[in-house]
Amino acid sequence: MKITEFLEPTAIIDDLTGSTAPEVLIEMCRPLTATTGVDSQRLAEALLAREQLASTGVGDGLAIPHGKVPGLPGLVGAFGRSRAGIDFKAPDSKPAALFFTLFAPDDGRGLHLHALARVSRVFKRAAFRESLLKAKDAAEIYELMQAEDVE
Amino acid sequence: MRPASIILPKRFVSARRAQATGLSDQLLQAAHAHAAAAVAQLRTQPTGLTQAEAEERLEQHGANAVAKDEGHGRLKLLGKALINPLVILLAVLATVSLLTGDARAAIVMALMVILGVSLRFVQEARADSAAKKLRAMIKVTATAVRDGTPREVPLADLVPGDVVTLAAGDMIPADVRLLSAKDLFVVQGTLTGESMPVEKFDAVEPATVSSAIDLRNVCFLGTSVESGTGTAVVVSTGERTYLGSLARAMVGQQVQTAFDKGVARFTWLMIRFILIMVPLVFVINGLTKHDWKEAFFFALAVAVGLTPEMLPMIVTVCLTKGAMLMAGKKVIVKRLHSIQNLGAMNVLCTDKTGTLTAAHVVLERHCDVMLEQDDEVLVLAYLNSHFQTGLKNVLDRAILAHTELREQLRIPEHGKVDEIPFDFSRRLMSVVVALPDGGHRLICKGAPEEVYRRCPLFEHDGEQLPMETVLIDDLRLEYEKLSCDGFRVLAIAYRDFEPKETYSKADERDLVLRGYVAFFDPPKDSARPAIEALHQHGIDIKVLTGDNEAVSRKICRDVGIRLGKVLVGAQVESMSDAELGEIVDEATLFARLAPGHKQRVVAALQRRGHVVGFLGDGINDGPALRAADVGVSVDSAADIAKESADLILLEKSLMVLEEGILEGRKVFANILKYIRMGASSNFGNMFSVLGASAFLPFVPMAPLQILTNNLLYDFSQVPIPTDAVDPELIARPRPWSMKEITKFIVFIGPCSSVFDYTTYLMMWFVFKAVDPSHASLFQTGWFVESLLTQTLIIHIIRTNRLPFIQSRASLPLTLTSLAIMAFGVWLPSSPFAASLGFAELPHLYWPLLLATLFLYVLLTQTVKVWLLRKAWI
Repeated sequence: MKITEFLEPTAIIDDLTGSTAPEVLIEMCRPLTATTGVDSQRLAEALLAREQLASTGVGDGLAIPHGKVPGLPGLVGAFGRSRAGIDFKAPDSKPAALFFTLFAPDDGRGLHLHALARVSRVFKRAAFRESLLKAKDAAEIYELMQAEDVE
Repeated sequence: MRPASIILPKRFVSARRAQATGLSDQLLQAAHAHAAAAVAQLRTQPTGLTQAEAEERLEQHGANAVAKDEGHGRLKLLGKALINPLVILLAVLATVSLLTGDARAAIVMALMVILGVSLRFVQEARADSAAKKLRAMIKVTATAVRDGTPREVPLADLVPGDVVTLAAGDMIPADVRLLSAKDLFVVQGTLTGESMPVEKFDAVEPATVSSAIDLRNVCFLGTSVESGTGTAVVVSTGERTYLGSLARAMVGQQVQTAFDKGVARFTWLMIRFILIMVPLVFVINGLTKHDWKEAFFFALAVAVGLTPEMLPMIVTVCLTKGAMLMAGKKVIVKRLHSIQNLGAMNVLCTDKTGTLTAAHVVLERHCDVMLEQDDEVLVLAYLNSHFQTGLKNVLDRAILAHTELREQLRIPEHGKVDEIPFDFSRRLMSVVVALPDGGHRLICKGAPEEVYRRCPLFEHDGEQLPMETVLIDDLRLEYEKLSCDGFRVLAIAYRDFEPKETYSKADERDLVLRGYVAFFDPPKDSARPAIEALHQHGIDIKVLTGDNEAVSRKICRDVGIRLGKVLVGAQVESMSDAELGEIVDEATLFARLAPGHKQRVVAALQRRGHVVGFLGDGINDGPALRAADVGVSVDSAADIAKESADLILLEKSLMVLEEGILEGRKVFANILKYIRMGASSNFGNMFSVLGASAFLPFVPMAPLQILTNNLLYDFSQVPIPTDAVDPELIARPRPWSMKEITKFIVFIGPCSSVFDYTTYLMMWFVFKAVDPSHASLFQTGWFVESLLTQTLIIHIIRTNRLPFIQSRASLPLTLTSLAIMAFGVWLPSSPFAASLGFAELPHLYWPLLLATLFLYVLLTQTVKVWLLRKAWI
């Protein structure tokens, strides 16, 4: 499963302006409204519901907020980078700077499990995280993702 | 009287409850000691007691019995039949008559006493012995080691220090400390309400565990072995057991039923009539006729006439007839009077396990981590259960019930390599099989949280994926859906190995989570239609269970019980009786209840004016069974539950109960017929007698004629219990309503008075019976009219429809009515006429009587229809 299969260049925000977790989550949902036709409010609610269960901050400055949205045509993701870092209740208590947001249809096919596994695995590499933090704009971030998919 | 605990302030109740659930120190000591120390503490050997020692201890500790089966002594029953206001009044009147030399009246009244008492006594004794026979059918023995050899010993003869062996299906014979246990699973639902069996071990219990249910090396009297084997030493017997402490907690008098209270109120109403009427009649007649002796006997006869002396008999015969019919429909009535309550019941509280469910666990789902059905998961589970050699528990058996897999799996091609048995600390178990390709596969099944910890990977859609932290919560979310749906969930995981000799617990790591198997105790097929039928008959169902909320919700949905509010035990605990009362109507499911909670719920419903039935079979149901208006249990129930119940079902099915309920309503409908007739005709007669006494120069009916009239009238009512009941009379619960009876009395009673007066006028003006020399003609005229109208009214009152045309009485009732009427017509011209003081009636009397009867039926029917339209009756 390739990341660029569910991440469009338009859904990459290289400089998140939000300063709290909910603000950031809502910010990343906005570009997805156009591609999915789903109201960004509904998308954000799915994320917040999942965060209430347990934080998706996984440590090393990364968070993978995700949620299931009934009626979604397929997997869809967004990526955001916060230069200041946001407190995301990660197990290592470090603020999160990289956010990979993921939505899956609620059809029981478990697509999100595969996507989550893929995203977790890719972001495990410190060098990849480093390069994303250093990338100058959204286009470069997308290129980095593409390069990772090829490997 | 309600048991005292209901009206006690709450803190006393909880104090008492704590006391009730407290364990004997001896049992705790034994639980916290090593097996050998526990044996020594009880002054016994691992090889048990000698027979002599056992007999000595039996002498000292008493029989191992909780529920004492006293039954009712014959004398007690006879006393019950005799001590009854009506019987006593009749007996007093008979004595007075005898003392004043009126032997004939005394004999008539003595006959009535004997008839009523003997019928009641015989019927109650018969029903009592039937219930006793039923109880005697259940005999339990235990296998105890005596003189070094295991032998079957009656349960009652077990003593502390006895060493017993336990095997699947055994009832735990006392409170015991396990000395050895192999895969021993015990069902303690009768004490706790849990459906699932609990594993028991012989290990020492840490001193921190002091709650009965959590003691894992102790088994309790009244629970039973689901699977496995064990040996144990008896620590406490009889009333000193945990069960015994529960049984003690439900001391208190038998609750008087709504029906008992209703009959008593009706009787007192009649007695008040008599107390007002009799002195009045005596004084008026004495003053107007100056014959005080005649006035006295007339008043006495009026007293007897007003006494509904047939009530005890009609009630008993109706109830007994109902009991017999119900016995044929697998419902055994232990307490006759509860039949009417069964008919009046509008709320039925029932437990879940075994009533709504089959009490039999099945494998309902086998699925991957996303809960999609996955046959490979079932195959893994099947291999695991098939190859494990420990005793198969209910879950294993439920998996192995999928016999279709046996061929499909080609089991012989899978060689078993090893197994890592279950233990309580791991809460999982594994088998290792050799696959047809030569590799080894470890298959693990167990509690999901334990399996998760050993799985760095999970499999989905043919792909193995890492169990990242961020994923675990999503996976857990999925299986928790199953738990929330009321399933008991086990996770299935596997790991492939290069072949090696042996495997151990250390190999149960680096597993791949594959999916889940989910079990539950499914609803009975009969539950849904039975509940629908009960709903249609106007009965609300509430489920009261000790089991958890998720499981109970699912069962309720499956059987079609509308889920209103759901309360759990902790909420009930924190509410005051008043708060509970406010919510109890809306709530349909009460989960995780302790025994005391069930009783409180029942009591709260009763305070809301409901007639409450309780169906339960567990030891924990005893207090609620007693508190309910109708306690229903089943033949297979714990003895203590059966002891507390009013009815016993031979089959644990709501369908059986439904038939019983209809029978109960029929019984009540017939009893009500008698009460309405008796009450309204007495009320009418009061007006007639008073008027006649005031205005006539002679008594309107001779005392002996009144008694004869009364006796004939009584005879006409004997077949009432056989009467058919219109379907609309049993469609809804029929609570005892004094209001309805009062309306009936006030409106129907005067109808008969009207025609008594027209008869007086007819005798006076048409037949010129105007002076004492013509008294006997007047009296005969009223005697015949009175007897015929009273006999006819049965047929109008017995139905809400048009009598004779839309609804007909049973053949015995119709024939008896005709016979009594014919007898009444014949009496004045019979050989007995002279001795009873009757005169020949003129020919013109008969057509006029016919017209009177016709108008009487017409008027009564009209008033009845009007009352029904007003919904007053």
